[in-house]
Amino acid sequence: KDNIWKPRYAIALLLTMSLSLSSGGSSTRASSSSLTAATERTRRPIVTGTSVLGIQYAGGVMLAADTLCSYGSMAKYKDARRLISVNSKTLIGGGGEYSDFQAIRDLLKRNALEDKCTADSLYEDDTNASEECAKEVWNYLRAVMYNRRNKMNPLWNDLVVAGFTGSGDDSVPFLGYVDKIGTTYEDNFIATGFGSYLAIPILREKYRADLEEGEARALLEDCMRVLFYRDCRALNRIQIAKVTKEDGVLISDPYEIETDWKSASFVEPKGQLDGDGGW
Amino acid sequence: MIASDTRLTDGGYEILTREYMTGRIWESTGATHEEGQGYVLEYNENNENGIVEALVKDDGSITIPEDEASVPDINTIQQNEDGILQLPVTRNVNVFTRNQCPTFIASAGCASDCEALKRQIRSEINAHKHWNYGDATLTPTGIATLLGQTLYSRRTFPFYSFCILAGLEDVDMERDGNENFMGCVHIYDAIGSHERVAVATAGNGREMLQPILDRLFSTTTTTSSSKLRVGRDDDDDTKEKNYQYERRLQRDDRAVHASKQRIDLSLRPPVETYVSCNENEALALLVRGYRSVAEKEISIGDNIVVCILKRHTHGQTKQRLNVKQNLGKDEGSSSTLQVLRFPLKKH
Repeated sequence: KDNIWKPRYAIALLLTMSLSLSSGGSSTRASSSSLTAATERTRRPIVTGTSVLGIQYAGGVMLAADTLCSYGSMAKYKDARRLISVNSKTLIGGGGEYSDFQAIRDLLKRNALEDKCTADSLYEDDTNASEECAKEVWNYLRAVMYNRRNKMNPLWNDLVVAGFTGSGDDSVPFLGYVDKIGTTYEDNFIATGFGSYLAIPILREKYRADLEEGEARALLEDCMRVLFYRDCRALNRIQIAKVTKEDGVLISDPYEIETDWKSASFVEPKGQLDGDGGW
Repeated sequence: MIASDTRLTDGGYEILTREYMTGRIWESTGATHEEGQGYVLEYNENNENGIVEALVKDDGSITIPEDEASVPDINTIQQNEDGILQLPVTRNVNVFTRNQCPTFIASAGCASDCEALKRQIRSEINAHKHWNYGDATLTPTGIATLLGQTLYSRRTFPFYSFCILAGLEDVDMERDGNENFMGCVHIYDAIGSHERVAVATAGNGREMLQPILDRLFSTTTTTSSSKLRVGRDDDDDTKEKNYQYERRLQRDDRAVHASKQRIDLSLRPPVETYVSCNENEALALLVRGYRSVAEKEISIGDNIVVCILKRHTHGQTKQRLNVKQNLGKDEGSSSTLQVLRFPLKKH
């Protein structure tokens, strides 16, 4: 697009905003020119989402996340959607900086639209073959995150990619993780943020390969409840999303989970002090 | 033989996953095993129809075996009636024929950098194979140089990736045109300096494990005794008394004498680049060393995955492995790959 500008518009050329996520700020050569805007880089996240949990069960993959975006210690946005569907095979959950997550969502949606428009057929049944499967999206996100980290300007997110990989009847469930420096791994259950400390031990204990959908959902809800009890930046209003071979991606509406504050360790603190004297 | 643990940590207290292999040990040349040829070891009754699964995935990483292997007992040499050494139980053995001899690289350090390095190396080698009519020119020494150059190309923003390269090199020591494959192991630092060694360790706990393995893999020192003369020789009466002291010289049997270092115009390293024990001993000592370092290093644990790569000259493959069925023709030399998993502490 920029190539059509004639030389006398060189100044405007340099000030043109890049539409690509992966540019992540100017390169070092451009920044030495006095005509370019000052480059900035992400040093810390401002509006953040907390944990995302994921689990594979018999028949599909399920993610859970709460609907809170915190502004530091303020619970500012209580209806933020942190689980998104990219196409009929892939679901993404994101914690960390919410604006970076929105940028990733826009990037993936742009790619999905381009895939659809350049596919052999525009009809939905046929375009499913041209859609990127979950593993492809996971690998693509690894490249995006690693590239931005190499420019010392990361997209400050921990992402969970869930869905199916392979095509048609051979597709297998997939659950993978990408973090802000491009670390990737896949596993039967994943938790980001605080969930990796509080929920992973529960998931390791209770996970079985043949979990039913209801059991998987109950397990995730239990983990979200524990997170609400002990993570200061969590909320009890959560969303659950699942990907199955037959139904594709389904994301539930947000709902509140029940919590019980009458348990002994909340009522009577263990320490001697009147208040929280211990754990 | 190349081994890795499967734990991925964040450098602190968190274990991200207990089964991480994608960026750990990977095959660099894109070698694929022969689909029709494979060996199913006879003690595995589960695999009756003989389907041999690929041990190396599409992205080059190793599949973690589901079954746990047991460490061979080095005190009793297990042999079957033909005198063939018994190998630990594995589900299958992958066979690589023709010129495809896999070369493995294991990376430790920052997982994202290790993954990026893996992709870059595999892509370059794939391109090399494409533009150079196949993989006949890929030797471990060549790949070792490529890896060193790639790491140095990022001298100013390094890949935080400490690598070990392991492959089979045709050294042809007798210079008679017959192949003579020896194990080739190179150890790297993050910016590409490398050295060919017999035993290499990289990553967390390296400072603890390397000296242990050095010691375990060096055999007893040889001694030679000579009598020292302590007095003048001209007095016959005291001649016996003069030769009193015996001096034992201790030589490191892994050292290569300077006179043997020179081969034509090139130099061998001053230390042997292979260990002198057999496969079962090597496996037992390796696992023992790994379990030692796992006792003190929190980031090491969960499983050890060991890849054993062997070269068999013409006609020997079926004999060497105690096989139940040979699923294909056995022509020429081949390389075989076995992958074993041993449990390690989970805390």
